[in-house]
Amino acid sequence: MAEMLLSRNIHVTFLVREGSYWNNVLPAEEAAMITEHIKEHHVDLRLSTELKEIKGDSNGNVCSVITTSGEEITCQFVGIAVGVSPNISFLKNTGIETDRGACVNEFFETNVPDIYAIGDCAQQKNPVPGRKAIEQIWYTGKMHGETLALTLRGERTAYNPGPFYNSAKFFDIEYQTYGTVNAEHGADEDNFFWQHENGKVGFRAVYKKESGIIVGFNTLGMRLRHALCNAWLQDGRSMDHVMENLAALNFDPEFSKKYEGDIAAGYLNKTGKIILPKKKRRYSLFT
Amino acid sequence: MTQIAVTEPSLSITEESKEQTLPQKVGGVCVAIGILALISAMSGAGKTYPALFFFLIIGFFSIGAVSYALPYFQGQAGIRNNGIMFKNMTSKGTIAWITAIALTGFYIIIYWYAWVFDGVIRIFDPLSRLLTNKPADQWFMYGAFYTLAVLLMGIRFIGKYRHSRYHVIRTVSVMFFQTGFAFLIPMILKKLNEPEYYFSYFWPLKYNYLFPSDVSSLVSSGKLGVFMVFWGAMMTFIATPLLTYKYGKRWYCSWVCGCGGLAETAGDPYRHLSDKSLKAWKIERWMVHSILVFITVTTLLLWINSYYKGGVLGSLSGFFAQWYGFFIGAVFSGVIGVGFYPIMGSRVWCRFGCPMAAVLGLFQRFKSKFRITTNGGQCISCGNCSTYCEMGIDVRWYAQRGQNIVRSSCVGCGICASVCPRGVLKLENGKEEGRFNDKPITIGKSNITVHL
Repeated sequence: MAEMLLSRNIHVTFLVREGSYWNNVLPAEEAAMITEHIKEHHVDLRLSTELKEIKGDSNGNVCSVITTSGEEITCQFVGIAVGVSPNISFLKNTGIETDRGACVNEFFETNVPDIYAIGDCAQQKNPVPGRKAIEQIWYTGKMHGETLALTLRGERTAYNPGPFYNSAKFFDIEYQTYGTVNAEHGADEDNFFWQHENGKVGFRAVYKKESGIIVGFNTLGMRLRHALCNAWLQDGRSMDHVMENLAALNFDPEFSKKYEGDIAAGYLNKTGKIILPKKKRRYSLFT
Repeated sequence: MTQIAVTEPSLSITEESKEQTLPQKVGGVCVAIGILALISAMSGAGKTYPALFFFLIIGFFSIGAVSYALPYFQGQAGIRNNGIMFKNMTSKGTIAWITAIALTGFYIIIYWYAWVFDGVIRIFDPLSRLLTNKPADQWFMYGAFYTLAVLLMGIRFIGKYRHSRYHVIRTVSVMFFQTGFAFLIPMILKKLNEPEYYFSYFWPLKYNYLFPSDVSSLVSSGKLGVFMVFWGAMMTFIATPLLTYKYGKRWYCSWVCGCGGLAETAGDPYRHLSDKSLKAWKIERWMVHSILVFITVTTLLLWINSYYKGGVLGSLSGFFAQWYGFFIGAVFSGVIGVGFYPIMGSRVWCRFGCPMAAVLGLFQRFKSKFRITTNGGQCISCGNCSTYCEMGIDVRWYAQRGQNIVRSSCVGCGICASVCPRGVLKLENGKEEGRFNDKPITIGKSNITVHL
């Protein structure tokens, strides 16, 4: 919303409840990078600040807001984006079991035959291990739909997603995540983070302390090949394997700056391990 | 009654921002002066003061264009197409139509009524004498304006896409080939009394280079002429299949060809206007391959006729060649090809008419290592890729099912990959095996297979 308003030369003040942008999902370093980037685009970003009151004029239009820091900000438009919750009030007194969302099993069946629920409003009674009961992103919505479509075509199919993945774009920085990367990694996990000095490119790998098996990736400003991430996460590859084959993982456009060397150097710094990333095979004229 | 202050910008998101920045105002004024100078030159002043009007016209157009392009170099680097659907010029508004009619008119005049432009042609005499030792003609003027357009709009393009090294390098390539191979070299060859030859164009695009008449006149002009014939044949029969095998059509259509060069630079503001319908795709396939058959048959007939020196075949082949030259070579590739930019997008010729595109497309589709990989399940179906595809390919259809894009019309401009908000698309050359992956499994569902 902020990006759209800025594209029309409309000044934006952005109130963010957390101390750093989206730091309930993004680890601290990534959150800091995005916070900086938002400011670079001349958004008046107010951290640890929430909306307290909206004031209107005599025409019923908004004329200012009051924030939790006590400041009054004049404005003509207030956009509120504080997350989604299932809108299931219309299911009251229908006999369909609801909790926070419409309750479904792994086939997306509700307790009423021939009635299904998928997407943002569906709540898995027995969530897939590692996944939330209510999944509210585009990708899971799409997978729910594709799974249910098979059932409706006659092949009763259970929801069986592979490794988690998500993506976003904050102004000019693309964000990708594969596997499980939380704001704070688990007690049995370690993580390796690398950031380019320009503050616009970052790479994080989370892995099990003991075995070195990878748990998840985050990238900012760098693209990873989904098929490969998916395969490595499913196969339980190790961090060493990842570092060795970084070049294969890269999905950036041709001629893009390569960061494998820098990332390997960063890994050496952290772990003392020298892993030389394999260079991508150069095709000869006759292959 | 409270009134909203007049100075506040409109919150209507469908209105373009009316405010012009200073560089844009300066740019507009310069272009206006350039147009005034152009009209004066046309009316006769160009004959009397060629050098003065040369600098006035070229100078003000250049400063104007660069000034207008300046905002693209400012601010954060990244893809932005703000206002493109609302601005008059890029959304088939009045200004776009005026531009289209003016461009079409320019082509019609230059092909069949060149005397109308005599005043402007004269301003190029000094440059023409420098490069060719001869006075300028309408084709020199055309080449000069064409090259200038690619260079100036190329600067704008580089500003807009400066975050992408691929685009910057590709644009420099296109600027280089247009300026060097499609303007300077042929002109200097003229000066050296050698054939005026365009090394970056060959059969079937520059069809006459393999016509018996051209081949014999090139061969008889000397050693360089013989080399030129070999060069043309080598490019058509060896380089084209090889390079297209390795890199796809893009090696030519987006990196070398002048038509492509203009389309990517001057045509960049219009790429979203291409027809996306299924009907257009069907028409395009019929047209472009028919034209390829037509020019192939014509070429063969001409050679057969030159061998047998017959009468019937002679007039038939001559008629084919003339007809092709007028309708395809002139009207289609020139008048419609460029004139229609602001209304139908930048690749009308490339998509519906170019026989070279047909040949390259056949190789790309059936024997090549090039594809646009779609990154697993990452597509969010926003449709930007299909919107900005200048060839009217429904890129999104492939992306959302995780299927690689292998299409004969894809010129590999790379814009779809740039406008994608999730980095789902990657132009790459890979193994031939599995290039189509046409039974795609969107990553993330371990137990689903797509039955086709």
